[in-house]
Amino acid sequence: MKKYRLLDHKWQKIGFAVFISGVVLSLIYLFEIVFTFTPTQFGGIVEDYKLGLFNKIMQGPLPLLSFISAIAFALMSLSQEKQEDERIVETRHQILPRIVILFIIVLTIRFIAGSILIRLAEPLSYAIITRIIGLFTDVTAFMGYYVLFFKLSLWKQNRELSDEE
Amino acid sequence: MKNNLRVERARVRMTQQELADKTGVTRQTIVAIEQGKFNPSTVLALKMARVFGIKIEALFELEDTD
Repeated sequence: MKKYRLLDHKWQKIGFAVFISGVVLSLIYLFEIVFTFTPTQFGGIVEDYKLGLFNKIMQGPLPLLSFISAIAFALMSLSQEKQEDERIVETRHQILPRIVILFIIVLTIRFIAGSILIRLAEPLSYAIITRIIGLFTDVTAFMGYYVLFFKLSLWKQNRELSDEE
Repeated sequence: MKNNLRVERARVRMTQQELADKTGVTRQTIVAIEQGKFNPSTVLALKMARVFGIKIEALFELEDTD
C-alpha cells in the first residue's frame, strides 16, 4: 500500500509551539518599537512619524513573524495526525482544491481592492492597507489557511462521527 | 456502496474501537464507513473481511447508483 511520507506527529506540536513563540516574540518587538519611537524624533511632524513607525514595523516585527510562521506552518502542514488513516488522507486531498479556489478569490479581491484604493486612498493609507492585504495573500498565509481548513474540517468530521457506538 | 459492517460487528460482539484497533484506523473512520460516508480502500476492506472471517463480498456490496 502506498504510504505518504509525512513527518511524525510530534513535529506538528513543535510547529504549533514555534508559531506561538513567533507571535509572542513579534508582539514584544512591536511594543518595544511603539514605546521607543516618538514624534519628537521627527520634529513633531505627525505624517513623518507615522511613516517612520510604519516602516520600522514593516522591517522588524512583521518579517520576523512571517519567517517564523512560514517554518511553523510548514511543520504543521507536513506532519501527520496522531493516527493518520486513509479517511484523514482523503480529507487532506479534499482540502487542496478548496485552498486553490480560495487563493484565486483572495488574489482577485486583492487586485480589485488595490485598484480602488490607489484612486481613493492617501499614499500612506494605501501603503499600509496594501501591505496588510499582502500579508494575507502570501505563500505563508496560504500554508496557514491549509492548516486551518484541514484542522477545522477534521474537527467537524470527528464531532459528527464521535457520538455513535 | 452498501456494507454489513454493523451487522457483522454485532454478530461477533465487537466494538467500533476494537475493530478500529484491529484494522489500524480511528474509531471515527469505522463510524464513517458504517454510515456510508466513507468508502474504504481495497486493503482496508480486505482487512475488515479478514477480521470477521468472511469474504469481502459478504461485507461490501455495490449499489446500482455506484
